Amino acid sequence: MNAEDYMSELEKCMSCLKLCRFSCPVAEVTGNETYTPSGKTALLYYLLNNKLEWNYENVSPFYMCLLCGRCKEFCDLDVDIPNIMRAARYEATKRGLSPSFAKDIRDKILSSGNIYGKNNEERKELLKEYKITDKKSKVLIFAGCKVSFESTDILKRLVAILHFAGVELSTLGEKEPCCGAPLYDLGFYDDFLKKAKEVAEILNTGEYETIITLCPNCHKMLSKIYKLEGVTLNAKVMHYTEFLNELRKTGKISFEKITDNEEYGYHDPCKLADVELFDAPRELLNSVTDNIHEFQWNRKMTYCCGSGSSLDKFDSEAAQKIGLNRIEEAADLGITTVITSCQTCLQTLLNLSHNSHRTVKVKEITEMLRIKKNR
Amino acid sequence: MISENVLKELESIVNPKNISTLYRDRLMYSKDTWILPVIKFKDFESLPLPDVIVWPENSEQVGAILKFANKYKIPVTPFGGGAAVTGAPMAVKGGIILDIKKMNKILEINKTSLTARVQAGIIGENLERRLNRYGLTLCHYPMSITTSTIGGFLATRASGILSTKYGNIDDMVMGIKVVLPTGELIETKAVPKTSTGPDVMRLFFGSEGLLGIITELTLKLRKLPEVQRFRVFIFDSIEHAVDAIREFMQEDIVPAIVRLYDKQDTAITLGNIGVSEKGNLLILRFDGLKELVDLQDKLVTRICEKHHGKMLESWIGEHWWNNRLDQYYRLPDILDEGFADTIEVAVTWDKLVDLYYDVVNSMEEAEVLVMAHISHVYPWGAAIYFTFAGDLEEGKDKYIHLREAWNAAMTAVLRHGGTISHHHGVGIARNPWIRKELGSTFELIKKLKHALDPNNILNLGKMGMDGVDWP
Repeated sequence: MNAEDYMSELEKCMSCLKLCRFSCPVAEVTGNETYTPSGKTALLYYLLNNKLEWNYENVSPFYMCLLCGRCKEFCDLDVDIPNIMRAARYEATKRGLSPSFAKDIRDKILSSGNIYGKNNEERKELLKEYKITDKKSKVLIFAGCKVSFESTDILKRLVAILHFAGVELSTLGEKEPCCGAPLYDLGFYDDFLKKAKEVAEILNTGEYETIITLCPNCHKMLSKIYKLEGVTLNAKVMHYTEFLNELRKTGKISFEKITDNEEYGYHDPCKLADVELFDAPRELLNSVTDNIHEFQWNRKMTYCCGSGSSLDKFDSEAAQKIGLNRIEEAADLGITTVITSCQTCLQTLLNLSHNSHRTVKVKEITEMLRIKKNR
Repeated sequence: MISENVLKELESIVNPKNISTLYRDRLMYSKDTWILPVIKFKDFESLPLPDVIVWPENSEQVGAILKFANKYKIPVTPFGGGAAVTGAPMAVKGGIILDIKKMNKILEINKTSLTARVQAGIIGENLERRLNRYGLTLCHYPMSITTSTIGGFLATRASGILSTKYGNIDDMVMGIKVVLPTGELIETKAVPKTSTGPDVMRLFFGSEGLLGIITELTLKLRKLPEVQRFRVFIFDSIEHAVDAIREFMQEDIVPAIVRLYDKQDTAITLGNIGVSEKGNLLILRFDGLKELVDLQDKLVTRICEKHHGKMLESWIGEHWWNNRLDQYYRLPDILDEGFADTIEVAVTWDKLVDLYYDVVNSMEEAEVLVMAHISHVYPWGAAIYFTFAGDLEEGKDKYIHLREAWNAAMTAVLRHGGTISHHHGVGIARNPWIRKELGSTFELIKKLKHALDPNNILNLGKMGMDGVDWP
């Protein structure tokens, strides 16, 4: 995570013809040359060469990035903009130049164990409300901050399916920590490393065989980034769509076919695209409906809901325009219901759909899964 | 510099969020993709900076900004995707850069008439992908489609790779809204053809922001073709290949893509994909209904074979299409060791081969490596696109070297009666040669400029005006 290591990529990117411009949602909605991937690498190049002063004004464009990686997919120069932006943010952190929204999230994670700064004891309530037995099972649900505190509905649906399939579940309750993804993404690399080790210790203490993640960013951290950073987890990490699809494929559960007039489209969350998790959610959806369509921008070229890397907290106007572009795409393609497997995407697109002149419904994937009881 | 009080007045025109005087932004707006400022920017050399960047969101705001600029005699430079390779959007006299990219809405898609009304700041690729969702296309695929704006295309009279069949951007526009330099908004009627007086709309095509700022366009769309079929040939000489192309074009058999590489360019293009054939590579693509494509394919194949063309496997064409931007990604590496640039010119068939050889020989004398391809083909002639590269040599100034290469090419083209730009435009890059190119029409353009822009504020220093030379 050292910006200097990217010097050769910076030189290439800043001299390119900005061929990836169209792929950057932030560049699209702001129209600002500084916010193109090439503009941001040029800025970092000038800063690292001491041709610009390190100040807030000059580092703030590094936070105008969703870390969605669409530009990377289109780049033949192999310039890894998301990781360069993380390194640039780390440089800003080292100089005390992080934006207040980022510092706020960091402080909350470090002081409370979750991104909201709430009492982590509240996570325990999930056990009661959703009837998860607290006994030591081999399968752990890692709910993530958002599901634990804001989007608890999914747990109810998921737990019902898993119980029906005979899966015994554990949770960490109040001991569940934040996975550290916001620290990693927002430039608090040192804090992230400490957090990752702390999380691994907690997870490795239990004798879990499988960890089911509900949040795409938690999933990316636990299944990929920890390993890259030398932090080992003993258990296998599965996103809930993968776990459910395995149950379906092995005949432990099946779902009712949906017969309605909706045209469904699956929205790939950026963080699942980062780990190339594309098939499980599609296979689940294909098992319940024949009316599932691909977005024009899908899989690794998926188009962010606008809340990636907390852009909504840094420039809410830009974030909203990006989300509305996704809703417009769905409507253009005749998709009437957008399905996703990310609670942040769900909430963001739901909120925006109410403000859009294009009518699109938004659902989380388990809302589509009705257990077939008489198999 | 513009005083703070004057700048404050801008805030009554656009949202203050759409105004920036930050040094970091001014720096990022100091260049387009012309190789000269790109090298200078990378080497931290000084470039002309705007004082302020403004992002209007509609034609009315553009008008108000221009009225404001006239009041205080502040230069205004329009900026689209910054993808010009001529310095056209560089603020050589400072002042305001007016970025049109926040005007990026598709206002209407008419599926009956196959038209779309769009704001000028939409990026070409984003427009094309939106149209594709409805089974439609603009058919305008310039190399810079992923980074340049539709308004920029028209302001420079750009060409796309499919121009042989579908025409250049000039042929794809039915009506425009333009804000004149003094701030008045004019709109031309969007109809397929009219005979009600001179074609005012075309006055602004290729005007590069000197005569007005294009803010809205009504575009002519097409349905996505049923079939796209590649056909690839290799010829032993450029003369044979040119004869074949001329023959099928003059028989009105029109492929969507016609691209003929000279021997140097063929060696690189085929070498990159492991094909060892030598000669002049011709890539064709036929678009349309299958039955029509079958017939065109058959007739053109017969003509190419008559002119000693040997058919190669068509996957070469498909691969070329899917990877056609690759060469542009090599530019940053080339800059480590020297420079590379492109010059695209056009001439009638009778002079085309002679012009090609003369330009290549003249540029080689200027010590650059040259290769070329013929594309954008008409029944009456074609464009030739020269790509050249020079090494950094001890004791030789790279900017002088670059200019010598340009001068060799421009002089040779003018000698043969060709045009010094087929689709990149003038900007600053062609300032030294534009008077010779335009001849008697140069003074007329100057008079028009003066009549429309009495305070001389709009895009100064371009198209041979204001005594501006290369930076």
